[in-house]
Amino acid sequence: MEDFDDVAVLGAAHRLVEQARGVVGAYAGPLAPVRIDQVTELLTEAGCHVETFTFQSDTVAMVLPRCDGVYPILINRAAEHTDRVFALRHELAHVMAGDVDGPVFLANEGYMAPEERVADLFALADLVPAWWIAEVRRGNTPWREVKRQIALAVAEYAEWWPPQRFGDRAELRLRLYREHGV
Amino acid sequence: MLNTSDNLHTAPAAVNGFFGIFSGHMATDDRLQVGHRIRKLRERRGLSREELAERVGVHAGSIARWETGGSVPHAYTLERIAEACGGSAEYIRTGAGGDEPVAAAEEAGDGDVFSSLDAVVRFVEGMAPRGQERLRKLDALEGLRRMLTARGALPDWWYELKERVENGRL
Repeated sequence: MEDFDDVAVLGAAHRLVEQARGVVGAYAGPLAPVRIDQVTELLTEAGCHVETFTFQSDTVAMVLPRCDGVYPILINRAAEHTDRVFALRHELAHVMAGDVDGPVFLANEGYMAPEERVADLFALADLVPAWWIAEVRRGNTPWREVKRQIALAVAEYAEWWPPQRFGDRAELRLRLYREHGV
Repeated sequence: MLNTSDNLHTAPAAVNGFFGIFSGHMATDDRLQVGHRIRKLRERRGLSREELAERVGVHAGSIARWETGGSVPHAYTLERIAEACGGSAEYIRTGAGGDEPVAAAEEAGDGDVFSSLDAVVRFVEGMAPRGQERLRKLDALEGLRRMLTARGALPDWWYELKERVENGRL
């Protein structure tokens, strides 16, 4: 089992959330998930250009290196709506984090790379918000059950994920809540 | 056995009382439990969300929302879900009834958080990323084409890239 630096991943995701809040204060806040127009505002501020069309490949989304002054984010129209909602936030995180030296695909392989975990966590901070986790936790629901419920919530956005990715992200999302209050 | 708190296993009056009225009034824990039972029945039946949605006559997104506790289906819809899954509406509503022992036995399997996602495992294992690289490059080129065309003429380098990808030289 690879030894991941979870502290760094959590810290990086938290910084990205704070950075996003500098533009859209509601990101991952009490009214999260934010509206699509607020996501658009974040994408515009980060210098992204979004194109949606039906891919030939099985990829949900990708972000390409800066071209003509913008970062092209490509979203597969054939993907489920919930996948696309997740993908926009995920690819935005890559751009904000400065990860885009080459094409970055949202797909099954390579998902345990630190930058992929940070990007997923940034998206989940808004899509599985802290207020919802607090509601699940109300009544002293055991943390293990809270984590299981987070995993089920994550599944709504990315049912196609491998189980290890579910486990890792649910764990990270819960830690972001408990250790960073996000 | 899942380490669920007692309040999640009971069937408060609110569950029965608010079915068919406003699911938003139902406590989150109750919605989550109802959703969990819908998912369990669906998976036992071997149905995808899309397949169940088609049988019930709703969007797959609605199934996802119910299963994750976002909301609760109307009483009539609940009956249709139960019928499609071969279970009882009573079990979905309260956790009681003929399906409970089976569900409990499944939960007791290994207590693993993700044991209910076997279907996902099988799906992912059946996927082969081989052959996707070239298609991804073509997708990237198509995305660039759309973006650059909207901004003006397509530059020469795009055609060169396209030719290389199509001929396997990139």
